[in-house]
Amino acid sequence: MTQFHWRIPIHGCKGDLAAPFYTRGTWGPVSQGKPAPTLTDGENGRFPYHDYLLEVAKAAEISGFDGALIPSFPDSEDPWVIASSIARHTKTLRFMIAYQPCWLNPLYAAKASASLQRLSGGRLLFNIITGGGGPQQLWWGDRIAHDDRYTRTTEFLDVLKGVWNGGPFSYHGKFFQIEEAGLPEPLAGQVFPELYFVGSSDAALAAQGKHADYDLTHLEPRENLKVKFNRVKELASKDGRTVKPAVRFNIIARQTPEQAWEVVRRAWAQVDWDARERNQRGQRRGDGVGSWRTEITRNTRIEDLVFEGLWAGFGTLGSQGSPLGFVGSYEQAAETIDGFIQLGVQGFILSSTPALEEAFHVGEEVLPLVRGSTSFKIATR
Amino acid sequence: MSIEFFWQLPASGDGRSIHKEHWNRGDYTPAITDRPVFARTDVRRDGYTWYDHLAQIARAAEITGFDGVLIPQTPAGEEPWIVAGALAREARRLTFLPSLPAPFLSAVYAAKIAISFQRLTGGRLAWNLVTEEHTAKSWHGHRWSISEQIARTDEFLDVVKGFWNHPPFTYQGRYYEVENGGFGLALTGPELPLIYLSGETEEALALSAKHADVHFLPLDSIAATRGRIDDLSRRAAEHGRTLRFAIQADVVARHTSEDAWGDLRDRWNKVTAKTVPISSSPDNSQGPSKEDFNGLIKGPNLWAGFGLVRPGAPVGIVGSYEEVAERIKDYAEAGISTFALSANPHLEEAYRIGEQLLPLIRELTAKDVSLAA
Repeated sequence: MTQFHWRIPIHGCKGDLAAPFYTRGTWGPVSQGKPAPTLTDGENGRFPYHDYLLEVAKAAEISGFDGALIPSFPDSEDPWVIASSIARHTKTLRFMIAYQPCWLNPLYAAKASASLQRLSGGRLLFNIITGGGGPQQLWWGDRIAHDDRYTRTTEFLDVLKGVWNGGPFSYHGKFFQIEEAGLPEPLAGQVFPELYFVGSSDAALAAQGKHADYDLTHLEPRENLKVKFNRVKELASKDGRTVKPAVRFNIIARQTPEQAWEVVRRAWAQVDWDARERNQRGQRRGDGVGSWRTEITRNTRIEDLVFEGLWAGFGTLGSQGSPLGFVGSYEQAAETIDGFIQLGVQGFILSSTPALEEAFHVGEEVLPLVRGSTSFKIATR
Repeated sequence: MSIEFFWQLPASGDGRSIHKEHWNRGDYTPAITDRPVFARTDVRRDGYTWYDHLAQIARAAEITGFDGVLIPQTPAGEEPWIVAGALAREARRLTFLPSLPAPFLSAVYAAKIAISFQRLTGGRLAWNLVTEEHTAKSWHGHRWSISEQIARTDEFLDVVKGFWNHPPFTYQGRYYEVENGGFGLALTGPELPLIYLSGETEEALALSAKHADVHFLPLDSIAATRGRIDDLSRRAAEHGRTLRFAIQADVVARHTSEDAWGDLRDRWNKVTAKTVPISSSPDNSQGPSKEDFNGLIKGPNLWAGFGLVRPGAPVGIVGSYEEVAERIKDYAEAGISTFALSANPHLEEAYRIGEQLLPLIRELTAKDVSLAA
């Protein structure tokens, strides 16, 4: 069944896409009297940022999403903390924790996850990230080379699955050596979390073939997606498995296309081009793969960035993820999503700003149109 | 120095019996088949779960005046880290003290989780870092000696403290390394969780001297307790540090001493009359017998039978409310600042201890100027 997840902004959120900095949370300037959640706990009318994140989670649940992606950045809230907190305040919403296997021992991850499944009634999913290497990875305290990291991811999941339903499970890998382990009752035997996998290299796809349920890709032009989906299918079939394609992208949907584009126009007018040029100096942007990746300057017009009915300017507006996303009416949004379902996509992670209000635009208005469509019904039959 | 009280959350089941094999609350006892409704074993999403019951107990502890909850690490129990996250929003004032096995965690990631938790709760997280006697049957399949676990915990704390307080932080140890670590501006502010450690070996004491804020001592005579406090304080002073001290104890407190001992003896007899094997006493495969009861009395109001019938601290305090309050005052005078108490069933007993015992202790210790907050 096709899944729809909403992305929870654990690194701050703007109350208005056109705002120059985050106005919700502590990632932008925080001042007295501003309705930004802060560190204090209800004192002086201020609340922790988590209270806002819980509101976003509830909005996603109420408006009809199946689940929520809780990503992870060095400078963000932590998804395990948020997930265990959200679990008791939602009923059906599934939550997808993003993490790197190097952050936890697989036995400990198994125990914590089983406990979370018992807490939530089996609503956990994982977004397995293997990490990009370089200074960022050393910040996390991890020095393993690229291909080895995928070996470790594979071993991590071997062990996680091996002990999940009880033991005894022994393992002698390159990274993990375990003697007769197994989750004890009653932790053993919970629903195993579905796995969303990220990565495009051969090593990544090989690791996916063995363990992933979904291959998660940032939105790209449809031809690129087709190529990736075929590679995943081919590699997974070697293991006799099926890995379902999933995509993630930003979306701005309104009653009419004009209303949606007006949101973009207001935000585009606020882009700080001087700051962008300062940041970009010395960095070569755009790799010439396709016109959707062309360099964006102060002379670029919004309509220059329209590509295959999608819009490639989200990165310029400060949104995370692929610069390519959707802008348009509810009906157009449903048609676009429907088109991806016809390409074989079975998982969607959608995001927008502000996360709370936009969850209702997409959940209440777009998802019902998609779920009523013929291809959705065929795909989920 | 003020005194703080933690209540223990039963992360691996509960019940009226003294023996864990008879606990009927939660689904942690395979022998108990007529489970109460909150022992959810399927994936229904709106049934009453063990977490709801834990939340009820945490609320009880908060309402009756405890300062925090200790969440024990048990092989088959809920993971304390998840329990703390789940209950953080249920209580507005309690400190959460989850027991975590540091060697199983990345130091950086553990710090990351902690800082997010501090932001969620307004700084109400503390860490009880524990080691585990390695046995051939450890569920996790790791054969780390206690020494190695302590060595790993030592580096773990080096990294956590450096990463948290001294960015950019670079470290190259045997088990942990990190380069240019430290949290960004948006996350700075929360305090590092207080570090609770325990252990009696040379290595454990050296670790506490260097890293602990609070050290759990075994419940023993006042004289022995004073000796341990002096010794560890001296070791800490070599690092230019001072420690606080804690004890963990089961409490059987009733209106009269006779009620307390009678109740305990009753529950003991019920257990030993049954044929259920006592899995926590490997040295006694027959299980303790009725006659062992008196031999387990280890001093005024001290009884050492708890460790034979359930996981957790071996010794507990038994007596009238007045007697138990006096004993706790004695330990407070000896230098114990933190009391992590438990009694089952934990919900009802939280009210009993919180309402009957804690006010008495506060009254006693307030009279003593040296203990006034």
